[in-house]
Amino acid sequence: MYSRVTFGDEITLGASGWTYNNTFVLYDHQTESIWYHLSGEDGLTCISGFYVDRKLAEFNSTLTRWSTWKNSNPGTKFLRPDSK
Amino acid sequence: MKFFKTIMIFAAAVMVFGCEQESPNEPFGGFPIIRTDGKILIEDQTGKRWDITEAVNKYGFDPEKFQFGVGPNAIPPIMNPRFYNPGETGYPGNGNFQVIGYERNGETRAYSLNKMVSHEVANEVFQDQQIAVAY
Repeated sequence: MYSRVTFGDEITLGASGWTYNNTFVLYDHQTESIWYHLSGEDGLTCISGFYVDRKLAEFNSTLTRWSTWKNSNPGTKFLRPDSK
Repeated sequence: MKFFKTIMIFAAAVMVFGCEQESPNEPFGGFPIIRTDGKILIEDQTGKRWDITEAVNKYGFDPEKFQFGVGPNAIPPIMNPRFYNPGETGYPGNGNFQVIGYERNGETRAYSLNKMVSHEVANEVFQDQQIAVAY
C-alpha cells in the first residue's frame, strides 16, 4: 500500500510490463517515471525519470485469508471483482 | 510472493509471445538497449521505449536484467475501484482465499489477490488519502 502523492503532486501508477529481480517495475501515467521497491527500503523510489529520487510512502497492510480478515473486521468492504 | 508474481507475469508474457511468433526478443533479456544523447533507453515487446538512464547510472541497475517487457497495457491497473459492503449482494461469505487487508481510522477494505494479480495496481482514494494498492 503506497501513497500516490509526492511533494503535493498526485500521480497514478501502473505496471510497466517489466520486472527486475522478479519484482514488478511500476511507472506513473503522468510522467512515465519508473518506480521500484528497492530492497531494504520502505516505500517506492523513483529510479528514473522526472521524479527521480523521490519516494512514495508505504502504509502497512496485511496479507491474510478472507475469513480471518472478515472475522477480525466485520465492517470490511470488499473490492468488487468487476472493478476496472 | 515474488515467485507467484513471476509466474503471473510469465503467463502474460506467454500470451503476448503467442501472438507474435516472429518476435526476436526473449522474455529473460536481450531487449534492445539504445544509448543516445547521454540517455539509456530500453525497448519492450510493444516497441515502447523506457528511459532507464538514472536507474542504470545512479541506482546500478543492469539493463540486461529487465525482464518480460510486455508493455504497460498487458496488466492494466484498476483506476476506479468499487466495493461491496457487508450484506450487499456479491459480498463474499467465508472463504480461505488470500486478501490484502488495509485499515485506516477504523475503516477497513480487502482486496483479493486473485483480482490483484491481473491488475498489479489499484489506484484509489481511501478517505482523504490517495493510495495505490500494489501486489
